[in-house]
Order: sequence, then structure tokens, then C-alpha cells
Amino acid sequence: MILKNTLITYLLLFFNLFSFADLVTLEDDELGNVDGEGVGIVLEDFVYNAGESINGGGTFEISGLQTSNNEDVVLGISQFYIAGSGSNQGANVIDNPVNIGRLNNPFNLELRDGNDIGVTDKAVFEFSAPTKLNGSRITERPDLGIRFDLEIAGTHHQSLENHIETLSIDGSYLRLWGGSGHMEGELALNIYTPSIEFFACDAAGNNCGASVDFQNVSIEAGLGQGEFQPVTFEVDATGNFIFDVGSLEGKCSSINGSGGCNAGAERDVLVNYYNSGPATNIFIGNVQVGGQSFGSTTVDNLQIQYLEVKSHDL
Amino acid sequence: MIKIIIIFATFIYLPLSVALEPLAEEEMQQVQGQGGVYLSGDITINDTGGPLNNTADTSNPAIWQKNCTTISTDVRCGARIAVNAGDGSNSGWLVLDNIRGRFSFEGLTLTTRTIDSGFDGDGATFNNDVLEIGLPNTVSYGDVSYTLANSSQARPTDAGFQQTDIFSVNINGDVSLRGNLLLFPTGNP
Repeated sequence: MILKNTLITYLLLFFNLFSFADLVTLEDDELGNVDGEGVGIVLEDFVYNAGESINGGGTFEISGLQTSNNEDVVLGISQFYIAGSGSNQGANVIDNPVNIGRLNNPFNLELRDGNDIGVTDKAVFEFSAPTKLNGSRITERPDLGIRFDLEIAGTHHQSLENHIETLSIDGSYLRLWGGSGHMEGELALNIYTPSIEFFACDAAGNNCGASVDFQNVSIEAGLGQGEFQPVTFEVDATGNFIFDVGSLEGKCSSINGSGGCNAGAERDVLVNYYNSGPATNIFIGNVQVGGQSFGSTTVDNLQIQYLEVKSHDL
Repeated sequence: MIKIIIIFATFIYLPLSVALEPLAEEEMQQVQGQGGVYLSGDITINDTGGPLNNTADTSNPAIWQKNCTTISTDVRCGARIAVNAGDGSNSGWLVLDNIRGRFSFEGLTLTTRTIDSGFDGDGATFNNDVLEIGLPNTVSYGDVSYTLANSSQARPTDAGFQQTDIFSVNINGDVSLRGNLLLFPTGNP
């Protein structure tokens, strides 16, 4: 028996060795063979329902915030749900499942050839939502929402609610690769929903006030473009985080007398970036506040050419 | 000894033989020759404390101390995961700290399945095998908590340790998690 165990242990150790031996740097020609094959992910008949009001008086709290008078603020999550469309703001959840992702257009995890997407000679990790073409149908778009109570210094103050109907994030993706000693990325986030609604209720969750309802929302946000403008998320040496979208400064080395970029390859890249680089478009069909329509809003072709967000201790 | 084992084996066998009945035609059609795994799990993490806490006590090596009783005022007593995504020594750490509590679930299943129908017509064109992870319906949390933070050092015991807690989460009770997670190869392997 001991002999058998020892044998198995040795065998396992050897297999381990083999698997380490397989980890080698990918050569150029091998990288050329990475061609968009990955793991498809679909959630079938999915329901998620959590929170204090649905688990029989349990706890689901987010803490760590403080008021300006240094009183602790606790957000008690009454309900957080993901369910099928027609959830009626979280009332019809458990018997209302939803398929998220399609079998022929699923969420996808894969390694891509960086040369196709502006990252020279590197493998790029990509997590993508279903594509917009042949995208999620109405039955494959979940409702989700959250109801939470504001507790300041132990006293219940108010209950806030946010509900999103039939959400689709088709066309979104996150790409990550190793930059010079740190992680770099590129992000596209698309949000399509007929309604994002916010409103407040009293401490018991009743007598809710007028709602703010963003109707027919389309958001298509792009951040970063390959190695040309990478997005980085880091924590600095003092323990504060820095979210950074690369600057375009210094992308042109040949500046003319009036401060512009002289014609050439660098200028072509910049022109191409301005014309067809990552941009953010937002369309909101109607903003309704307490039943009153405020009309529609459009933000077109907003291009973030540099962004640095840094946290500071208070 | 052998006799005892045989006697026990007989007892185990008896109730099973009672349950053996011929399968009717319709029931036979339900048999699909599938294999799978049914899992239940229960894990408790750092319930009574963790290794990285009090550095004030010089009588013990700091990194191996444990003190997470209810009267302890030391807040750093759970497990800690620190990830560095920046430029070596100039950068800090993104931290999941004070991970504590008990998770349990019943009925996580793991099986393969051929999909050739359903899914509003997608199933027939898909006509392929998937790995199906059946979610457990209910996941129970017992005083689970964690803190998301940014830190200047990987360990609280490192020199120059500074940390900004962003928020803490505390969950106690059941969460409904239903459905199946389907995994399959995409592209043209």
C-alpha cells in the first residue's frame, strides 16, 4: 500500500514536471497560429437573488464609508437580483429565469494574436460579450436591480432603489496584456436598456418618492487603443489607486512651426486615431422625472485622449 | 472479522434488492447513460483568526500570531490576497483583506450534455456537446466578510505599511443562485 502511494506521488510529481516543461515563451510563428478559439460561456435558466429582505433577516452589508461628521455609513443591501425580463422591479425573480449569452454567440474567453489588435507580438487575453451582429434577443437580456438602505450611525434613514430592465452589453470586451513590467488593457463597454430607474423610499421601504427614469439608453464607450494608448490600473507606493488612460503627448516627434505634427507615418497614425479611434457615444431617448418628460440627450464622439484618476486619503 | 463483514454486507444488500424493479418502456427512454458529479461543499476560512495581525507583541514572530476572538480589537485577522499590477518597487498592492467566514452549498453538479434542441432554435444549429455546471440553487454564507483595499506593502508586517480600505462587505444568510453554466469550445478547433 505504501509502495503504491509512493508510486502515485512520484507519478504526479513527474506529470507536474512535464507541465512546467511545457511553459515556454511563444515564438512569432506560433503566435501567428493563435486565431480566436476560446471557451464559450452561456448561463442557462439563471437567477441570482441575494439580500436582507429575501434571506429571512440575514445580513448583507457594505461598510467603510463615513459622513463628513465621521459617522459610519452602512449600506444594507435589501435585495440584489438578476432575473428574466418582466421581473417587475425585483418582485418576480425566483420563477423567472433567463438565458444569458447565445449558444452561437456566447460570452467568450480567449487568447488572441496581438498583431491583429494593435499589440505587437504579444498574446492578448480577451473576455468578450456576445457580438452585436446576431446579438442577444429580448429573452436573453436580464433585468437586474438593487435595493439598499442607508444606515448612518446605526439608524435606518432611507431606502434607495435602482432597477435596470432587459439589459444587453453586446459588443463589450476587455483585453489585457503584459506591458513593460505592468498590466495594460483596452476596454469597450456597451449598455443597451429601455429603462434605468432610480428612486428613494422611506426607512421601511414604503412611500416611495418620484423616480428618475432614463429611458431607451444606449451607451457605447471605448477606452484605450492597443499599445498606442493603453489603459492601466495600478496602486502607487502610498497605497492609493491610479486609473490611467495613456496620453497622446509625445506621439509625434516632428513638430512644425505652428505646433502641429509634420506629415509622415506618425501623423497618419494620429489622424487615424482621431477619425476612427476609441470614442464614446451616448443616447438617452427620454429622461422622465416624476412623470415629467425632459426630452432626449445625445453625446456624440467623445474621445478620451488622456485620463488619470487617483485616489487620495481623507 | 470476515464473518462480521459478510453479515454487514447482507444488511446493506437487503434494502437495495427490495428497490430493484423492472423499468417500464417510458422509464427506459429517460436513461441517457450520462455520468456526472454531484458536489456539496462547506468551507470555513479564518474563523478564529489569521496569521497576519498584531505586530506590537514582540514576544512572538509577528507573522504567525493568531488572535481573532470577539473581544479582540485587532481588525486585521482574516486571510489576505495582495496583487501587484504595477511597476515593481515603485508601486503598491490591490488587496482583498480580512477574508473570513463560512460558505456552504449543496448540489453543485458537473456533467456533459449534448444540446441539439431548445434555446429558441439555437440548439438545433448548435448541435454540440457542452460541459454543464449546475449551480447549487442556494449558497449559504455564515458571517462572511472581506475588505477591498489599496496598500503600500504586500504584508501588514512590512516596513512602511500603509493601507486605504475602500469598502467592506459582510454577508450572513442564504443567496439564491440557480441555473446552469455551460462551457464549450468556440472557433474552429
